Amino acid sequence: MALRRAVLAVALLLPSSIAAQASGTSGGPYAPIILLLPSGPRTLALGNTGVAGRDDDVIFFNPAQLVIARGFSGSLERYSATSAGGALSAVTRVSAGGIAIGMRMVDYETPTSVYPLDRGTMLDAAPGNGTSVEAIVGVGQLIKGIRVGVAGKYVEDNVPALRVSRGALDLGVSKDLFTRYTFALAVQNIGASTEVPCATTRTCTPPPGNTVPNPTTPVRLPLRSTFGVQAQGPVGEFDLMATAAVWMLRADWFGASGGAELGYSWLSGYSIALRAGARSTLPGEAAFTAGAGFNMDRLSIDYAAEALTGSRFGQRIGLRVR
Amino acid sequence: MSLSDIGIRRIFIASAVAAAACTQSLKLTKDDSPVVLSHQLISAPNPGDKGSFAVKTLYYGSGTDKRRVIFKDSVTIKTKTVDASPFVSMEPNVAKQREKDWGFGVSKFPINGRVWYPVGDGPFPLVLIVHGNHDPLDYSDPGYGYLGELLASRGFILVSVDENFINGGLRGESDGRAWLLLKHLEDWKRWNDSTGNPFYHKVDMGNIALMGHSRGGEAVGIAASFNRLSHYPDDANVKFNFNFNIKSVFAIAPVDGQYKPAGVFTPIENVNYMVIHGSHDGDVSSFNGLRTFQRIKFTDGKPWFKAAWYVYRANHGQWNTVWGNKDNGPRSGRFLDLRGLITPDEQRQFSRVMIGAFLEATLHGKSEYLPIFRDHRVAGAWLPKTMYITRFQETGFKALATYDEDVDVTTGSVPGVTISGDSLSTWKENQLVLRNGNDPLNTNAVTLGWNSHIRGDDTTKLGRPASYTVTISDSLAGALPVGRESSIYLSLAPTDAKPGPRAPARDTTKKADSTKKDAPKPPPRRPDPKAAKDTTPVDLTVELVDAAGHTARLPLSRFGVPRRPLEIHILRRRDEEQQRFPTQFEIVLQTYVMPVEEFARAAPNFDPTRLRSIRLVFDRLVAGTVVVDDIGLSSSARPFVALGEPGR
Repeated sequence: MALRRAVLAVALLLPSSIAAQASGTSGGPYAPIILLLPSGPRTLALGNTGVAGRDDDVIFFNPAQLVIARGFSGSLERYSATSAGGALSAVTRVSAGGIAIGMRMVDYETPTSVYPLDRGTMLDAAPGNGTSVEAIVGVGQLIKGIRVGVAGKYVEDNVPALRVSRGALDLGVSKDLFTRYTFALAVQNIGASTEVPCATTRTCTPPPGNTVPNPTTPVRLPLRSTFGVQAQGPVGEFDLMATAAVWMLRADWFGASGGAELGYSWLSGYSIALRAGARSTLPGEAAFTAGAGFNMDRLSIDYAAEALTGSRFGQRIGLRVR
Repeated sequence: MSLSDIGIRRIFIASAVAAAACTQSLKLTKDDSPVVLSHQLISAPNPGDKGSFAVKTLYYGSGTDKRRVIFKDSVTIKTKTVDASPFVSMEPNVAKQREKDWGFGVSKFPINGRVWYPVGDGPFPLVLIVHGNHDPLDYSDPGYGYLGELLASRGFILVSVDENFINGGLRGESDGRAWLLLKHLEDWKRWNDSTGNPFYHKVDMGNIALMGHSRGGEAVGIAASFNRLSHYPDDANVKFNFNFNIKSVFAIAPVDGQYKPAGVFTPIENVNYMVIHGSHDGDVSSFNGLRTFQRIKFTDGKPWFKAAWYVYRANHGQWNTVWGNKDNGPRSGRFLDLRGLITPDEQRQFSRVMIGAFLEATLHGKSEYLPIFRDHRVAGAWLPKTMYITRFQETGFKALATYDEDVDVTTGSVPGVTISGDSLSTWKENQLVLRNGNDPLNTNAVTLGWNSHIRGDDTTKLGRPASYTVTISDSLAGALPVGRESSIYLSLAPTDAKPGPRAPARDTTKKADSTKKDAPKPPPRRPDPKAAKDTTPVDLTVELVDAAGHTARLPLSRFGVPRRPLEIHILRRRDEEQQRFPTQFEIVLQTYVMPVEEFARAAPNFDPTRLRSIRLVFDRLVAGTVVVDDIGLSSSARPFVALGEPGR
């Protein structure tokens, strides 16, 4: 019954996702771009939904879940012929909680005078080189039965025309309810905007009669609020996990995402999983994602593919040790 | 094909190979049943075959059951609910949820039962069987229908008691399970006394047996104990007034010690007791019932007996047709190795035979079935073809050496017994433990190791056989049941340990040089893990010596099979098996009951009335180790040894 509800929730959220996509609202400008990219193959295959996840890469989604997440992992993604990135994360138990570190990076080609980039532009060949980096430290703790977490991060964009760096904060809460459900809420990328020269942005148009030399414009962090649920349980010989989330980028972009994982174990400690997901899209993204995983005791190998614009696919592979 | 495709393929191939490497091949000890079970000495009808009575069934219960129609609309006899709150406790939220699920709480537990009964005037002995812990909604009580059909046809009333509503994640409820059984008996007594009741004067309340499986297996022992108490041990404000004639208790793969009245293992006295356990039990993975067997006492002089059977390749669930072969839930085939199990039919054939024989012998008084409990080889045609290790003891057993009373290895269990060893490589007394987590069996035994080879270049040179002697003083011999009618008891299990060659005897004609240092001892050789296992059959000579020094000698194997440990692999993964269990076998001692008369027949000069020593002579195997316990004598084992030994 619980799983049926979860699947239903995903089904209900997906139409809103498609609707949001159809509205064609701009997803920016937000920077650094690393904060808009996927961070793990398992979550990516589930529509990039990880706010209620239990793997170590949940540090990139919701620090509250660090209370129950364990292990470390690394993954690499090839977005296009000219852009690739990766992520590393590790979490360990501390008292009744967990502490984690994570790192993400992307390397791409960029036009020399365009900032900030969106994911669509990032996929294309261009004369300049750009990198975007995130380093994050988070801690989660159980307080009166509720998991609470906080993470601090340093983010940086390097493009030919400028280098932008910032500090930011993530906050999260989560709780298990009704035996099989995890409900989670996270607010990510809390921090100040960055003023960048108008000359380097594509969105800054100085008003007529502007007399200020070298005008600047704010580029905002992608402040993101996500509420999600995850449920899992056995279905006959299989293990089914479903997750869904609704999110809001600042106040101008609403979306939803979700996915499901069907696992099968034929021998204790060994299992395979097939995953599929869908998401509201940001520029450069398409809706559907899919993936697979193979688990061998504490070691997991995961693969995910995400549909991108222009009939392109990003492919991500990762290794996780619990 | 891209580089990443090749990489992924390699990763998956490597993973598949790793998975295959972790899965162990099927390993079982070579079956000796074609030889061991090749005789049938008991001529009575097979107790596992149906009898002559027509069988009927009915249900009794609350009549209001929310989940099961048979305990709602189909009850023939309505019963009152009972308040089990002193015995079963749970968290308020759990209690609330269960009340919602079942429609009743712990203060209104129903007395529900399925009855198989013979058509006839009776009175018929009453047998209650109760299941253990399992998925509460996968109802366990119908799973003993095959026993109901059998036993009712043989003139017993069998009740399969419903305790599904206590199943699930509860702890410390075993006393509640036991108390409920006694509440069922109260109803049966009332029905037997009530005119108009279908069971009016049809129940032989003087002959009652309790049977239980898993947690139910512990519960029947607790019930036998509570039955004779006036107060609940955990709360003396709860008074008991049961005192039923529970003559027999049968435990199937029981747990033990989940309930401890006043912090001790439940004491059980003066009942016939039998426990069976499968070597490949994937739930209760150690022979816990052995501990119950060990502590059962016979103190009132009546002719009780107790037996414990270890059934190779049997599991936990196949004794119940609902539970099946996956002992840890429907998906436990992922980690339990089911390939080695005997079939469900074979396992249930075993329980039919043994439960049938036990109840016929103890409730119907059919003594012709008694010999099977002392030596299973007398019923080779009835038993499924697998291997059995059996323990046995009856009222008349007088202990000489049980190794529990002190730390002096030269004294026995009663004054007047002295113990000596000669040429033994290993001689120590220690506690026996169960396979699962070194759980103590609460009994000590002696470990005896020998190697007749003499250390040195000549590998054919053998020394005098090692021996272990229990000697009885003249005064004690007078007080013991010693004579031609007596039997010698001994419980023994060979192990795989093999001591190294013994040191050559010192030349005592030379004066010792006190300044000369002893030659350094060679370092003990580490056992080679890859060395092939020694499969040489283990045997030894039992030698009885009378006061005049006359000896009578017979091989131990004449009275039973001394087997090396039976190899057990319950889990599919070798690494998990090794991690979870310190050994791949359970030390279960085989009881040998050896009629003194047979020794006297073998050595006419030997005078059994003047028995003074029982000696184990290790002359039939060059090197080995055995664990020995419960050496003693009895003069009342006659009905059990009446048929002699097969193949004699």
